[in-house]
Amino acid sequence: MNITQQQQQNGIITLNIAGRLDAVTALDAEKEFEKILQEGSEQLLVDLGELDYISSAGLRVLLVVAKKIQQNGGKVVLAELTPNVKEVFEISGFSSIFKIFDSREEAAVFLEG
Amino acid sequence: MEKFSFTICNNLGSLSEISAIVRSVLGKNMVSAEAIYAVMLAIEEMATNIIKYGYDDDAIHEIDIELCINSDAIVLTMIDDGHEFDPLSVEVSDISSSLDVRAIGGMGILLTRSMSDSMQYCRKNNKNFLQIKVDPRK
Repeated sequence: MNITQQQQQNGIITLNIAGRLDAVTALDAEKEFEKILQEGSEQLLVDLGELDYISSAGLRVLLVVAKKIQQNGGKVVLAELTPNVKEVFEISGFSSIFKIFDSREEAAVFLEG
Repeated sequence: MEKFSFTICNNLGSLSEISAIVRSVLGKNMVSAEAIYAVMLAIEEMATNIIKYGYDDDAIHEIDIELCINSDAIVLTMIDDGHEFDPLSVEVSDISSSLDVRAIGGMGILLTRSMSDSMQYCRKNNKNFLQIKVDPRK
């Protein structure tokens, strides 16, 4: 699992999560997100295009991040989900609690709007 | 039919090793990407429950994992000596609740049930036996 902060423009922070977000990597991911949230970001665009695998432990991390950002009055959106990851979001009901876009561009338009 | 057996210990670190092995074994057996995902997820979710809630002591316990790969079904069997626990008896979380009140408990079981074709559980000789079937062509 690797999280990279890719760009920052118009107050939007774009994160790319690559690899596996599972019970083994969840703790590291949570720490990485903590660091990013401490910078006071309010608009977060999470690109999951390179995320091969997510389990319930990974969903939990994203939920914690989303709650914190919402508490600060910010927004978090997800983009570029691969088919298997998308299925996990659909089964778990997470596709209805997160704003999910096919492309980063659409996600950015939503955040800017 | 091909049969593979693995044993992992009750720590989360051993899960990354097993998932790499399982991915490689299934990948060599013409199993679809979706089925590989379903098997990896079932192993992770079920093993995580066992590791987190199965034991009261700090001792090292072994969890046996067996994969039988047939042309029409992958049969995953997991055997552990933890507390009696039937994942089929758990009521799955309410996925209609909003972000604020949402509890994550039961999500792993919900995902495993939804992504597999069948699950069977029994308790024998003070051990939990869980059998999960996944269609390799799905």
